[in-house]
Parts: sequence; C-alpha cells; structure tokens
Amino acid sequence: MERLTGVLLRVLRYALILALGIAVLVPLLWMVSSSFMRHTEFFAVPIHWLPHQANAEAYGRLVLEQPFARYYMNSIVISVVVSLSSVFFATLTGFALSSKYSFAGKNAVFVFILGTMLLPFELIMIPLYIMMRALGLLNTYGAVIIPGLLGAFGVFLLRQTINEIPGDLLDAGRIDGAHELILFARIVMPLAMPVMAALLIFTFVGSWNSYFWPLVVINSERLRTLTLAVAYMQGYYSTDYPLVMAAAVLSSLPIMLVFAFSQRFFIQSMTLSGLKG
Amino acid sequence: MTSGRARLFKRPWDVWGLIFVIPGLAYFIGIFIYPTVRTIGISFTDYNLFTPPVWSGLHNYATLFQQGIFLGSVKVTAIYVVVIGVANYVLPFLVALLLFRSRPVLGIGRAVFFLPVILPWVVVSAIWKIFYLSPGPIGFLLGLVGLSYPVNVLTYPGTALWGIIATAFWKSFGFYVVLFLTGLNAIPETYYEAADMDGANAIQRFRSVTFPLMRSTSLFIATVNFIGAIKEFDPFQVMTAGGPARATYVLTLFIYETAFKFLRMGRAAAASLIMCAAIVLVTVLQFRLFRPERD
Amino acid sequence: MNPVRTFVLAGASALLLAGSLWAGGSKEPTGAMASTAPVSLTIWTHTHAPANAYLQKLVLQFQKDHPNFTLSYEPAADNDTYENKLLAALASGGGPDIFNTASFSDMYTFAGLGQLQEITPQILSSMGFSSAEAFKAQYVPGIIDKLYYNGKLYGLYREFNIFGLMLNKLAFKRAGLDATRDYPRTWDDLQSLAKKLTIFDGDKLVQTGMYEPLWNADWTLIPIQPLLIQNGGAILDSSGKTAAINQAGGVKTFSYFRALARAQNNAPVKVPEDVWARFSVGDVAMYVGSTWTMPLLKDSAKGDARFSPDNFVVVPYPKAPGADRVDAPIQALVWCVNKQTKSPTEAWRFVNWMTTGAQAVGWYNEVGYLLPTKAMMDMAGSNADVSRFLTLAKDADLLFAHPRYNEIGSAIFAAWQATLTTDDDVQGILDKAAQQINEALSR
Repeated sequence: MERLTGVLLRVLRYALILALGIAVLVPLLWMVSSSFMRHTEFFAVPIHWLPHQANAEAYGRLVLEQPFARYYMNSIVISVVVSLSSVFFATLTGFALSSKYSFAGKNAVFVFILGTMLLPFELIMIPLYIMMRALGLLNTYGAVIIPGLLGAFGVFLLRQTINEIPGDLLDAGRIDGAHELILFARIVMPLAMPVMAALLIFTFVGSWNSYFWPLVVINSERLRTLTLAVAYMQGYYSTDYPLVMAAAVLSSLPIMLVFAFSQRFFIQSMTLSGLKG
Repeated sequence: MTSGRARLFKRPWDVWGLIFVIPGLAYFIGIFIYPTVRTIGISFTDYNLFTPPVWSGLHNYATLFQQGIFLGSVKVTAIYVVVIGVANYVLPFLVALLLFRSRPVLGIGRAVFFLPVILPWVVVSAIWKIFYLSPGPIGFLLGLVGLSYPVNVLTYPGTALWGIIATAFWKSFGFYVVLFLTGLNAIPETYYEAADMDGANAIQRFRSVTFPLMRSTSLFIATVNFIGAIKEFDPFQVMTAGGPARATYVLTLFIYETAFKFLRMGRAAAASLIMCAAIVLVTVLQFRLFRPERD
Repeated sequence: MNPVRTFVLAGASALLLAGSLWAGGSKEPTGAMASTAPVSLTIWTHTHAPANAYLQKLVLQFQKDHPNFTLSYEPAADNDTYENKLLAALASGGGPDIFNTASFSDMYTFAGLGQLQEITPQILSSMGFSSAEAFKAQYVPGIIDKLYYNGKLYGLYREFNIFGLMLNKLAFKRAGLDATRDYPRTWDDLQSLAKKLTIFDGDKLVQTGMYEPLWNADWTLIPIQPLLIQNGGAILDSSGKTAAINQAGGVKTFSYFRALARAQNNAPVKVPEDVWARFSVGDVAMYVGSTWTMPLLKDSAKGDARFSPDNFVVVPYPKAPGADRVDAPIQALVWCVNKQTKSPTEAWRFVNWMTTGAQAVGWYNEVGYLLPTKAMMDMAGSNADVSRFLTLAKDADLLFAHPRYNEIGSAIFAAWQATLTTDDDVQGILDKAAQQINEALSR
C-alpha cells in the first residue's frame, strides 16, 4: 500500500513537472515559431503551430528596415556599464559596511541604504528627469545609466558575503603592512568573486530588461534600446506580428544564453538574500 | 560588539571604511534622498516643466482623493496586488511541496521554470498580446479542453485585468517555486523525523513543522511579491495601455501619464508619495504578521 | 467618374497648369526683404515618406533662391515618439526653429506653455504684407481665423485633411449592393447598411460593415464629431469651462455608435487589427478617409490583387434629419515656430513661402495634402477633386482642440471604449467622462 502511494506520488510529480514545463514552454516556442512565418500564415485558421514554409524574411526585414544593430548596441553599452559599475561599487560599499570595519554611524548608513530598496522608482523619477534636463543629459546614454550605477540590493548582498570572510585574513595582510586598497583588491574581491559574478549577471539582466526609465528619457531612434524597439513595433493601426516576434527572439537571445551558462549563479543570486535572515 | 559609539574609529584602519563608503553614500544621497525631498516639494506645487512651479499647498492631494481616475487606479492596483499576491503564494507553495523531494528532475524543471522570469516584460507582453488574440493560440488551446474563447480578453474591461494577471502569474511562477523550494530544503530532516515518530500524517506535518519553519521565507516572498506587484508598469502599458476604459490603469501608469502626458508634475509627485506610503505601510504590516516568533 | 481616380489624373494636368500659370517660380509679394545676413534654421517634422521627400525639395529650392539661408531638415524616425521628442527638446530650452505639431491641439498646448512664436504685425510687414487681411487673402476666406488662439496667430497649415466616408465597392458587391448608388445618406442608412454588410461564416467574421476604431482619442472624434454636432451636442459648453458631453446630444451620439456596433454583431470590436489591410482588399466595407488614405491603403494591400484605387468611393458623412450642416471633420496639422528661435521673421517667411503659391500646389500634387490657399482655389475650376474638397470644406470643421486635449481626449477615449465594449448605461459612462473633463479643466 505504501509502495503504491509512493509510486503514485512519483508519477504525479513527473506529470506535474511535465505539465508545468509545457505551460512555460508553449508561449516561448510559439514566439520562435511565429517569427519564422509569413504574415499571411500567421493568421491562418486553423492555427499553424509550426510554420509550413519556414523562412527568415522577418529577420531580414528587421535588420534591413530598422537600425536593429544600433538598438542592440545601445542595450549592450548601457547594460554593461551599469552592471560593471554596480558590482564594483556594491563590493566596495559592502566591504565598508561589513564587519571588517567599524566606524561611528556605520549601521545607520547601512539601514539607510537598505531603506532605499523600498522606494518605488516613481518617487524619484520626476526630480531625476529635471536633473537630467538641467545637466543636458536628456536623450543621452548618461540619462539612462546614471540611476542604475549602484543598487541597494547589491550592497546588501556583498556585505553579507564579505561578513563571512574571516577577519584574520585581512589582519594578516595589515600586519604585513598592506594598504587597505590592496587588501580590497587582493583578498576581498577574489573571495567575493562568485557572488560578484552572480550580481553582475543579475544586474545586467535587470538593465537589459528595463523599459520604464528608458521610455521616459529616450526620444530618438539613435539611442533606442531593444525593449523600447519591441514596444514601438506594436502600432495601434496594425502590427507586423512575425516582425515583432523576430525582434522579441533577438532581444531575448543574450539573456537566454547568459542564463544557460550560469543558471546556478543566477537562481542563487536572485533567491539568496532574504532566506538566510 | 563593544560598548556603544564612544569613538569614531575603533582601530586605525577603520578610517578607510569611512572613505570607502563615501562614493556609495554620496550616490544614494544624490540619486535617492535628494530627489525624494524634491518630490515632496514638488507635490505642493503646480508645475508643468515649462513655467516655474507655483505653490499650491495641499491642493494636489485634495484633488487626488476626489479624482475618479486616481481612485480608480488605486482600486485596479489593489485588485492586481491582492490577486497576484495570493496566487504567487499559494500555488507555488503547493507545487514546491509536491516537488521538493524529487532531486534530478528538479534541476531541469527549475531551469525551465525560470525562463519567463528572466525575459524582458516587454517581450512577454508582446507574446501574450498575440497569444490572447481571437482567433488565436489561446483559443485553440482552450478548445482542446472543451472551453470556448470567443473574444480577445484584452478587449473587454471586465476581463482585461484578468488577462494581464494570468500573464504575470505565468511570468513569475517559476521564481516563487524556486524560492519555496529553497526554503523547504533548508528545513532539517530531524524535524520531520520527530513528526513521523509522533505518528503525524501529511497535513499535520505541514501544519506543525513545515509551515511554521517557513515563516521567514513566507515573509520574504510576501514582501518581494507585494513590492514587485505594486511597482509593475510594463505589461499594463504595452499590453493594454491602461485600457480598455481604464480597466488596467494601475497607479504606476497613472503617475507616468499624469507627469509626462498631462504635464502635471505636482499631482504626479503627490501620487507617487501616496504610493510610497502604501508600500511602507503594507511592508510593516507584513513584518508584523509574519514575524517569526522569538521562542 | 470615380472621384478618387482623378487624384492621379489631376496631378499630371494640374502640374502642367501650375507650371503655365505660375511660370517663373514662387509668387511672393515684393517688399522689404532687405537683410541678406546669414540665417540658419532647423526644421523638424513627423515622418511621412512622400511629405519628407517633397519638403526636402522645397528646402533645396529655397536655399538656392536665398543663398544666405541654411536650412537643416530632420524628419522624425517614427511618429509615436515625435510628440515626446518635441516636448523634451522644448523643455530643455532647445528644439528646432520650425516644426509641425503632432496634432492640432498641440498648437494650443505649446502656445499655452509659452513655447510658440506668434506671427506678429511686425513679422507680417517684414514679409511684405500691409495688414493681417492682406495676409489672409492668400487663403480661402475664414480659414486662417481658425488658427488663432487667445487672439494670436500661432500656426500655418501643413495639412488640412477633410474627412469623408470611404466605401469599398467589392465589399458592397459581396452583399449584393452598389456602393456608388447605395451609399448612406442618413445615419439610419449607415446603420442598416452596416448590418447588411457584416458577413459571418458561422463563427468566423468574413466582412465588417462599418469599422469603429478603438485606437485613440483623435480616431474617436473623427467618426463621432459630425454626428455630435448634428445632434446639437458638444464636448464643452459654450463658455468652454464645463463639460457638455454628457448632455442629450452626447448621449444620443454615443448610444448611436453602440447601436451601430451591436447591429453588426459587435464585429467592429471583434475584428483583429490590420484594419487598413482589411479595408484595402474589401474585408471592411465602410470606413472614414481623407486625401492621404489611398497611398496608405495601397501600402497596406502589399500587392494583393483585390486592391485597386478604383474600388473605392468617397462620399460625405451622413446627415441627421433636421440638421442643416454635415460638419465633416478636418484634421489639421500646423507649422509652428519656436519662441526661442533667433530668426522669427525669417522662419515665418520660409513657412509662408512653403505653404502658399506654387508650393501649395506641389503639396497637393506630390503628397496629396490639400492646403486651402488661393492657388488651390484657382485650380478648383479645372480640377474636380480640389473643387469638391474645397466645397466640402465649407461644411466642415476642425477637430476639437484644447490646451488640455491630452486629458480631455483620454476621458473621451475611455468613454468610447466603455460604450463599445460594455453594456453599462451610456449616460453613466458620459457622466464619468464629464467629471474627468471638468477635472482636466480645473487648475
């Protein structure tokens, strides 16, 4: 009897995973499949799940009719700058606020930085816009990048990580007369590297996927990011669906690739934080 | 730790801690604190970006609470947050409970479930906007199980929000399953063994062991879920532009349009402060509710 | 004779005619054009390929005739962001010298924000006009008066698109009707025709009768404004300070369009996107259109054999019994000059040159934009379409415009969506819209 329920449960589990997996994959496969269809086939009834005459003309049109390579570059530049800066400063600030240092007001500063995680972006968006306007940065990379250069989550994560580093390592370095900066570069950073890498990926993805703030500050096609491009491709008169799907596929590829290679890191960094405390 | 804040620096090298923290601190002050203060200031003015701000006291706040569009958007946001909050808690928890013993399949399943989570919302919105067309893929799939799908759910005010909720659930589901799995895996076996020795069945085991020990995970999930849901913008703008007839006009969309389409910066600032207050309030409440007992 | 086909024929003949009548280039009134100091102007427009090309030509010609001018022209990359781009540029204290508005209401909005340079009497006299009347004499009488806001003239026409009902002959034929004979004269006609012209094949929608767009506020007003006025309704009351859309006229109008949708079994709501493509091949029987519609339909047909300009008929909007005017809607876009410009007189000089005389004729021939200028009036005698549209213009009115159009339009659009997609009481829907409009009008 026990065995029967055991087997039943296992079958149920596999069935569940299968069902959920299908539910997740079907829309994604549809996205890929329809990007290879012609516009007329797209609306065929009954529906074509796979293209009967697959062709990549949507992709061709995407690259020829629009500066799609430009959009790619914009997304890459912004995301790379934001993620590199974010990780570096998160590590530096996390180090400063960790158990490795002690100065008056340290905890207050940490709580303060942590508190900013609660603030919705809408709260600061209007003054940020006005600041960017005053600096002449509207419609430039700078306007998009500046609000993303450092995030509280990263500081929190790295502080936690650096707390775990044995203080003796640093003390040993100090006895040898090493400067604090050297300790940071030679001891702290290498030891924190796995978490830094996870944060890098996490921040990169967050920036790649961002839509709201670029929507507000970017008005010219020259600077458009991929997310903006995909959104603008959907006109209210009519939409060229295979084209939009092709753009969607191309916009998702880098993320999917990064994810495929660093899956464990990814999930780890996203789920890491609150569960320990 | 030692006695209070007697000294500025405990040890000679601590000064470097202060030095290292300055860039980050300055950044947060400049990018978060200063703008927040300015937002508060702007909320007491009428400001259209072109002419200088004009002091108007509490007028913006008063107007908001009488304004149908604002109150409507609060209602829509509340419905969204509550529904997706419950959905993203109960269902992933159940799935995690059913799955957490099964190791190997877990790895693959986890990877697949996470795909929608990492995709840009704009891409997911584009896919589902097409998915919901009638006739279209959803209609076909529902037809397979004998249900009919006569019209595009996004076209009608009664159903548009539910369409977006379903998509949002599809997108975030994997994230919460993984969170619950991590939390469940952290529970030491000894607790379960003790329960088994007491002859507890599955339900009793859940009530006395699993659920209580998942309190901090639950708190984390509830908080992340709520803050994420109330801040959501992309699908509401891309899939339905807040329509039809403002059925999906959430607070973030209200703030965005009030500021950049209607050029009423003061009113948008006030609305964003109200939103922030709501976040703080609910988060504090959640902490009270889920606080792990100090025993 | 198919009025639409004469667009093309008229083009060729008008060109010849224009060439002979205005031999020797632009006819500018002579006057004090003394300064030959270098002038540099930037021009921004939204994007519309034929217009972009023609404007480029004008820019080159003007520079040739006036070597001290340097004009740099930049069409927007796409139209969705054009308005935001303008706004952001203006908000930053910069922006182009000359631009066209994304919608007519923008002129009111920008003027209200103090961003526009009006045409002052001084500018008029430096352009060689002794008075405002002399200036307005270049146009159809009364047409420039519509461009005044708060007593000042802030814009000149770039587009003056008069709308009519467009009918697809193939779709009519499919229902056993003849578009040239059976077109709707009254709104009741329209409704019963729409019902006959909606064809379902079981559950599948094969043909839509009259399409009712669910796109945005402008495209809501284009179908409904005539009926609203004919019903004695209005968006704002005569003082302009209170919403009037929830009065009897408004309720009657919105109720009509709901009945129209229901008569077609809700087809206009059910139909998927791509209306222009469907209209171009005859899957939609009736819609609204203007002079720029045919090229758009040709594009949307993507080579489908069922498309041909001959398949379309343009007729006036229906008239309600008891109404004395049809009041066709005019969608106007205007040229404006930035308040920050260093050369206001020169900027307006260029805009005036660009939109009158032979240049106006060129706008019609090459782009299909009908500008209501004296040059076009003179052409009307020999060109049936120009004549017809100018006649229509006498029974037409600009679309509703207001500095707070974004908010008012949003309210109207939300009410329109609710009307078509729900069964809520129309009075209640419009009361809500009126409340939102009143909020928009208040401080």
